[in-house]
Amino acid sequence: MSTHTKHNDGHGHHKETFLTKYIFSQDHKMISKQFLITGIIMGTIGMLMSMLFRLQLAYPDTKFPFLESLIGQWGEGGKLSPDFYLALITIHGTIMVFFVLTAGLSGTFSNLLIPLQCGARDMASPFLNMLSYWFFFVSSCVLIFSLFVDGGPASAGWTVYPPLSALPKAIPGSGTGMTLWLVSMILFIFSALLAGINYVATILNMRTLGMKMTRMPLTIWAFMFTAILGILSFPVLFGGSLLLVFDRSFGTSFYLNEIPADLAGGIERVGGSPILFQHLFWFLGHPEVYIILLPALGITSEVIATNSRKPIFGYRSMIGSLMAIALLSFIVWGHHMFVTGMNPFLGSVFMLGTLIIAVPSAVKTFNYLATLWKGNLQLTPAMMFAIGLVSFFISGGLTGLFLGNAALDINLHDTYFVVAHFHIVMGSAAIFGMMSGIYHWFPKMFGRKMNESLGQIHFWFTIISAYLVFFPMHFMGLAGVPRRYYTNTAYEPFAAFVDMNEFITMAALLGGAAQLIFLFNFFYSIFKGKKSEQNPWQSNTLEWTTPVKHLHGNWPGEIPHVYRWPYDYSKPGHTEDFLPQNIPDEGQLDPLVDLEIVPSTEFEKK
Amino acid sequence: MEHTEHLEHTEAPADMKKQIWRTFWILFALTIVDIALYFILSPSLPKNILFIVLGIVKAYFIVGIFMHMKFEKKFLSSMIVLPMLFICFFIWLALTEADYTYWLRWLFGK
Amino acid sequence: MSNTVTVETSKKSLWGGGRSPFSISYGKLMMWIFLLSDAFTFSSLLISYGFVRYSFPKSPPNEIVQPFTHVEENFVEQMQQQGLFSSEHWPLPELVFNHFPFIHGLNLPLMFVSLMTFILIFSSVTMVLAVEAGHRMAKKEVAFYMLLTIFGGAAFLGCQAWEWAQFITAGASLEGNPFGPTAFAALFFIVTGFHGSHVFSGVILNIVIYLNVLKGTYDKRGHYEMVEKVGLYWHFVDLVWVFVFTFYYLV
Ligand code: HEM
Ligand SMILES: [Cu+2]
Repeated sequence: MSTHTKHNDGHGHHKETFLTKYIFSQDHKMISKQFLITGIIMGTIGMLMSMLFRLQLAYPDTKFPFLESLIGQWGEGGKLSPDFYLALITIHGTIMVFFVLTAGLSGTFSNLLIPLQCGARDMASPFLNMLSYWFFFVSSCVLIFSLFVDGGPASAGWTVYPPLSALPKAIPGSGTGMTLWLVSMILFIFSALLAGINYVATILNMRTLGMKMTRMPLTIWAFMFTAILGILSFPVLFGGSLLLVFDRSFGTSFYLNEIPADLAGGIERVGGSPILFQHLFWFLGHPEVYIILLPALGITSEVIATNSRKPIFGYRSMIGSLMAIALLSFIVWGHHMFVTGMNPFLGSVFMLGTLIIAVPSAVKTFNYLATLWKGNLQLTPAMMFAIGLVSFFISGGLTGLFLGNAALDINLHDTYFVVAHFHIVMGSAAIFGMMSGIYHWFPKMFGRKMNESLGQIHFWFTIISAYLVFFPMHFMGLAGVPRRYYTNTAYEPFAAFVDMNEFITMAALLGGAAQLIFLFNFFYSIFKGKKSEQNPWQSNTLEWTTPVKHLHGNWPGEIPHVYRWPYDYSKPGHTEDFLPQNIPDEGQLDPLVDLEIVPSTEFEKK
Repeated sequence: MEHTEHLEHTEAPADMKKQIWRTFWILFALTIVDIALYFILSPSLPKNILFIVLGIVKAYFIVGIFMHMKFEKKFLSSMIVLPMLFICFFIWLALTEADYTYWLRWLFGK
Repeated sequence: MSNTVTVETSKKSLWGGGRSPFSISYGKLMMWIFLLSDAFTFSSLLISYGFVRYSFPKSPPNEIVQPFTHVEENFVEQMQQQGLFSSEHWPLPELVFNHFPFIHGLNLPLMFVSLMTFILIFSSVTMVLAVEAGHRMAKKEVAFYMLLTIFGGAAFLGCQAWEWAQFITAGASLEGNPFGPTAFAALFFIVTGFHGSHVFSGVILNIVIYLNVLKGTYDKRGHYEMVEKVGLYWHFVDLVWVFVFTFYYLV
């Protein structure tokens, strides 16, 4: 262990400038803050976009003069233009799915917690870690920049199906905007891969002594499976995007068939199939929804156990179900394509896989409920949001059973039922997990606490408005109202829903306003929040054994050794109701001895 | 930032050099067999399957000996190799789907 | 192996933290994981190839042109008239790839690509010999084998450039080709191009490592692990070629 101390001494000599400390930092704690703040900014942008198109859906015939000053030609005469409506929902979806809930959620908490909870000084490769953030940052900038180009940003939906995405002249958003979308996405893929490879290598290779795999907090298990999903699925999107770039710009026709030359840049396009793109896209797309959800589930496990002051119920079955979900998520992607012309036989294969996922999901839900049961509940804002996640996971998961059924999906596909389903189970649930994580680990990130009462207000307004917004959408969907339509009043049967749309928009505005409370609380607390003690939630995991003030290298002395799993809450026979992982039982051997580790020759590697 | 690491090598066999050359000759021979079979057999599904099997055998030698996978810990090799099952699933699926596309085009005369 | 010691480890201690459960450094582990993800990228391209190809009718068997026989200047037009090349079905690789540098007028199917395969396999061998020499800390040998590997890579790239040039002169491009469906040529360019760009970056990496070996960087560091890491990458490139060869030229 002598090298550890030596290693730490080495750090005192580094001179840190503003640039290396805050901008090009290689410290995982700083990178996690960068991910979080970029994610919050992108989230705010995405949310504001949803407000704009919600206004259009609620008041299709009213003019809002402020729109013209806000978005110029796209809001001529105070009316949102149809093209820009499509652009807005596309960019809203892209931002929310990739930039907020992939990078902003997994990026933030994996970076913060993997080294801290595993007991490592930093990520395996701090440099690649920094690079991953900067790829993400540039990719966000490119996407935002695409809002201002001629023709507007990409408008083919976040799934960018060809031919809308493959023929630059198809709709206004298919031109430069679409190209920039692809550039942004390819940068994003690099970022996700660099990050994921780093996370897995760190978790496997750099745990502290005694941190067996079965002593890892469930957060780490979740981050590991998230990273694996990303590593295996993002490359396929890369391949798909590459071919799409060639279709767009170089006259190939992988995804195009029967397109006459005058529509396609002077070359007749035959022989391809848009279904191919859909397969490549959804090979990423479905694991992607678990990339979004798994970190939130991991965070919830941790927060619920800590704040129920009880061991998590069914630790091993939690790991097992995470693993099962991760495995299954690779063989179910076709449930997004039941009615797009896919081979119906494959439809039944995919349906089977999809319905099986309900089993591990239910295991997780029951484990959460069993952990809460008769716990000594500490209803902190983090806990409230975690419980909120469980609620959304249940109500959104149930509608997934309908959509996963190939026959029912014929009716439900591309209606507001789908919008309701994924906003609840993926949108709201993951956002709630993220919020829970922010409230819980804010003291670790910034050394201060967020305001509790504001947190509670934020929670209640958010959960109520989220249900008010997304629940009614189920009924619209069952009645057949299609998604991605600019105005529903143009169709007789759907015009009746204008009242409901108005109601939903009101609720959405309320929900948006509630986020202002959060934004205020967040930024105010960074500078002026109550100073936090070292272990404010009396939690067991290793990150709370580090000092409040951040150190490069995390622990001032030796890295603590680990003697127990992280969920020893309210253990009988102890005065405190928690037992941190680094506290040995009476007579317990040090892992160094217990695990019969013969120290091998160590050497410092640059 | 530096790291401290325990580095031990999973021991390579003493006659590594011999093994390397043996592997080279195997790969060489397999490629020749490939070409020979290409001209001896007429195009058919079994022939294609044979090529793919030969490809996988070559991959086994490259990954196992050249990339040292045979001498690494079992868990590492399964961690790297098993995910390829997803690819197998995807291949089966893409071909089934392509076949369906073929029949649809035939049916509608496109 | 001056800096490495094999330790007796029970399974329990392998996963008990404080060490790598695989006894490999994080750098090598990251390289393996990266290669896994890169394998998925190549797979997605090859799967797209399979999809497009399979949605076309099969090619008719070739009973006309025997290997090692004379071919006319207007070979492609002949084949088109015979119906062996048509945008309706996938072409037979033996009729498309039948040229060899400096030999004109002879049907030499798949000969050139076999040569390319041998070159790549050989460069893989020299690479793994460099790694082996690295274990013995034999600087001179490492440098020698690295240099051979670089030459092998460059030779392969040269061959590929010739193959592309040949293909392009025959009239193939991303937008069309005389041998068969457009997608045939386009996928050929994209898949071999993507592989070629991997070879290219591999050669660059090898050059960097080679220079470092000459400078004695790894001697000072006490181990040649960096050579192993690029070695892994290089073998992977070879591995991908095996499958490109199988699916593009043989199947
Ligand atoms: C601020 C609260 C939100 C509101 C009011 C909202 C509302 C909407 C609406 C009305 C649509 C368009 C439906 C259509 O016309 O087809 C939409 C699309 C979408 N939203 Fe949200 N949303 C919100 C948050 C989120 C979150 C957190 C996510 C993260 C998963 C998300 C992901 C998406 C996606 C993926 C689409 C589909 C875009 C497309 O059709 O290509 N949204 N949202
Ligand atoms: Cu899905």
